[in-house]
Amino acid sequence: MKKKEQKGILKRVVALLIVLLMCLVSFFGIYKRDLNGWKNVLPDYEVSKELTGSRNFSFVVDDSTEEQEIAQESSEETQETTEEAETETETEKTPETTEVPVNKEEDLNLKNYEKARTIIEQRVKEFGILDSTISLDEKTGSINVEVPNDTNSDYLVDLVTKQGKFEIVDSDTEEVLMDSSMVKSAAAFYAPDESATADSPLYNLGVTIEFNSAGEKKLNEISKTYIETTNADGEVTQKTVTIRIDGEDKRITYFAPDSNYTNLNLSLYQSVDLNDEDLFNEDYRQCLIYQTILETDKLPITYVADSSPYFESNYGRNEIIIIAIVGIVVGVVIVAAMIKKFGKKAVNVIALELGYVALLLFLIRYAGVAITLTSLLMIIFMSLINYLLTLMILNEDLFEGLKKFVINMIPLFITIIVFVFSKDINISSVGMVGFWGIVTFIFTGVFSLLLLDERNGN
Amino acid sequence: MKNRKILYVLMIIAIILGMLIVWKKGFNYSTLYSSHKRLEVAIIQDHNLNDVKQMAKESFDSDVIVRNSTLFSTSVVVDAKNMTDDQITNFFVKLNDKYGTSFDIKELKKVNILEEMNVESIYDLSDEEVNTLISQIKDKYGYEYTSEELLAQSSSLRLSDTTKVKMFNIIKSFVFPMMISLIIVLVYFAVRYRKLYKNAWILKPLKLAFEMFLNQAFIVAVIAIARIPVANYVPALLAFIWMIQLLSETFKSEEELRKVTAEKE
Repeated sequence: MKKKEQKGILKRVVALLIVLLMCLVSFFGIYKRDLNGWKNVLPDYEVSKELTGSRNFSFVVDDSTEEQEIAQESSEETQETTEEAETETETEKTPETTEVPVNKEEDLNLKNYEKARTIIEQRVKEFGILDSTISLDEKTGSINVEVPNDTNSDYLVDLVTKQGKFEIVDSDTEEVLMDSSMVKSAAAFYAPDESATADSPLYNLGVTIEFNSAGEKKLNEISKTYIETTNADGEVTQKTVTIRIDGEDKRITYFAPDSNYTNLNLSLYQSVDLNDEDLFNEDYRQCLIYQTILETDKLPITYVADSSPYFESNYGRNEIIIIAIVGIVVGVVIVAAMIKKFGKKAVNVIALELGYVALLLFLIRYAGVAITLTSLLMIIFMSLINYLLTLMILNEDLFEGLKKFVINMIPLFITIIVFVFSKDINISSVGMVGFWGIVTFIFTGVFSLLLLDERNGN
Repeated sequence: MKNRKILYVLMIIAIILGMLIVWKKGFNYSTLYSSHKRLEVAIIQDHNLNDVKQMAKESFDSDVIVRNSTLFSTSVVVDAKNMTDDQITNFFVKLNDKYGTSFDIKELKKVNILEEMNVESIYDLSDEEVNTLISQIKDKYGYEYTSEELLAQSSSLRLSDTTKVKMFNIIKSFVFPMMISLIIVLVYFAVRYRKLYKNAWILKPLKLAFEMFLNQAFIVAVIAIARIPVANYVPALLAFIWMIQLLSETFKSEEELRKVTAEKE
């Protein structure tokens, strides 16, 4: 009996030491020598823009003009075709240019401003910038986009200023054969180039464009016309199409007539050397931008970038110190209440709480969960839920307590898991903290067995 | 039960009142989320942000927000719901006294005045035209510029209008995941608590949905009635009340189920 009691005490001491170690590592980090100082080897917390700082991009409606070709009928001539015995009129066109506004006057209305705002919001989220605030000036159509100051923010200008107008046109006649309305989805790709070798890993980068049913039908239709042909003299001619995005020629190509097309691989960068990682990543990012703008609707209005200053967070050092002091005071009050309620067992209950918070913070660091003010509250919320679990375990048998806890928590767990998939950082960070909080309940279950169960010596 | 009905009625009255206030006056947005003025000042030299905050508070409204701007903190940005010319002048006087700078509202106003007078490029104007413009500005706006001042390029000051972020846009990304989770939770409630009482499979989820929505609408109504400034804390507040209420309803329902099961046994 005495040996079993000693074994129980030893288990508790070991468990407490493990919790202490977890707290030290999670709260203070692990440091190693780095040049002239010490460096924490644990990854830094990902912090949202509201706590660090943000880039505030301002976009205004483009009021410039552009040259546009106008088709003018200069002469008409009638030509008789003897073989078919019919008369056809050919119109010879002479290109002339005129200055037209980039945005038509009739397009500048609230409906289009709102639509542009929605599309920009979709693009920003599709591109993976979850932490954004977008506002619209309903009178002028100007749009402000506030995003975290990181590598992604540099690409925001492209996401907003590219209209996303997709066209496949006849290279000779300029007739528009397909447009944005036929695009269903797009995905960036990189594929090995034919000339790639082991020493020179070359890749082609671009976007695969999927079409809706009308688009697929049209694509297959034009793929029978725009082909390479060889006449009786062996002369090879090609009838080609030009793929354009925002009026810029991206590729001139023709089709294989026997193929059945469901998508189109638009190669934007050829033979990019993977050894030049920066260039490769930059080109791939550009492909992701095209993916994003093709995935979303075409902007009804063209925008130009106005300014993009960096603003620090309005939560200064003083506010953070105040929050920390309040947190410590609340913690001390809770500890005092625990000592009063649980007496000797309070040490074990406190250890479970501290261990839970330490492990949760550790997981948040490693999972790269963005910390927002909301998710800071969620950490406190989950530690209170953990306290509830501890109480249930104390009041009932360990496994009964766990069972009751899980049953009572199912609706909350459902909510948390749905929140994880949100594309808004405030909600997804709550979901992620909640998710890792649920995972960390395993710690409470296991360590309750060691610290709270009276029978653990047996 | 009677108390609960009274509570529901009071909450519904508050919601209607809140809707009327939103319809007539809208929400009271916090500075950064409202339509407001933004003044960017390139101080360049080392400055103490707390000092600048104090100067801004003395010059503008109390809810003014002052932050460092640019990555090397060489500028400050001041956001305030209202900025009159006198307030800006007062702020510049304080900055000039403290940091020996020479900020002048004339410099700030120059760009807006030239825009209003449809001057696309001051550099394209002849000397005579510039002189005419100077006298026109003096007559219309009361500011006296020299031709050098008009021609000088300045990037140290900028005043712009910043538009509000609508309440709907603040909470809309939060509404969709809440609806999805609520649908799943309602199905769970329908299955789990179907034996609590007659038709509990439909009544229990309906009651839960009604109470959840009522609570959320009530909180938004209180924010509108009490004129609490709307900011990014709103989704967080709604989400936490949502989760706490969900927990409370589950605990209550589990207790009811335990009693019903015990009675049957």
